[in-house]
Amino acid sequence: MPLTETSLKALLGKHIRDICPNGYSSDSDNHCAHFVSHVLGYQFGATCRMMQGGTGTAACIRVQEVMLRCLQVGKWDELPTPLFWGLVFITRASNVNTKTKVMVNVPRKHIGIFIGGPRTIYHYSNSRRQVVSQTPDEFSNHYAAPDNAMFWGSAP
Amino acid sequence: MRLALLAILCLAAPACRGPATVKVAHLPPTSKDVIEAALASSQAPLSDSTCNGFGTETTDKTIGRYLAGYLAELAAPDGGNSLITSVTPGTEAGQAVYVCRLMVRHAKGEDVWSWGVQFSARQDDGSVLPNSIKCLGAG
Repeated sequence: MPLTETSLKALLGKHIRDICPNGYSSDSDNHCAHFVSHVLGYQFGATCRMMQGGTGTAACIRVQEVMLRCLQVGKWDELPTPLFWGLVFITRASNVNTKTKVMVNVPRKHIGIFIGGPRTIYHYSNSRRQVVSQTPDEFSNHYAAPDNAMFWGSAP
Repeated sequence: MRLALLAILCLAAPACRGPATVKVAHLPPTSKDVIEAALASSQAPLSDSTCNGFGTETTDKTIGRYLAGYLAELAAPDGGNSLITSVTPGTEAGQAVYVCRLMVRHAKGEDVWSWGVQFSARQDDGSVLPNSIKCLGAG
């Protein structure tokens, strides 16, 4: 099923417990990759089902495993115009090798989904404990500098 | 004869011995016991699929380096840091165990993360099952 902005808008305001069928929903955890993986059906790597022992559809919970499987990764300001939707990452620039698509597993890293002409970003806000949407400019303040370099990835 | 000599020399050398058994100090384990057992497991390799490649540096090879990476992140004096332990009775490979968790947590604004380890200690003698060590964390 193709991703549409309507389907993303329907998730706005939802807590991760409303999205994850495995009950992996502690507010102590960072659910950014978890949210993206449930939306896009990424079941590889470390998953919520593995951690929680549930029986629902599994979803990858780690950012760098998603980046590694992207078809292509690049700096945000080099985002190819034809890409209508894809993944957006934010972390310190030195944590990412765009050629190998390897991101170091530092704790300060985040992922969302961008879509449409204005590149609206949908992601899980761990402080607000819900799915939110932001402009790329707003998203760039997710972490303070120097941990706020943005990257795009074409979805696996 | 040569093999026998090598075996004797090897037994005398720490590097040739198998990994020492790690035990929790009390049953059920206290928070302090969980932390002590995690520290005592510091030389365990990051071999589980939940651990391999999930240190804060790609060169991390042991539980010690893995945990040290997250503990080092707590050095920034901006608050929101905590160590969380938990002990839950369970079973593993048919044995009664205590499932022990040690999590390093930080939460300030959007900078929210929680990474750590889980291992199982046998309820009968407190021995940590070497293959039970998993790395927990998301994001």
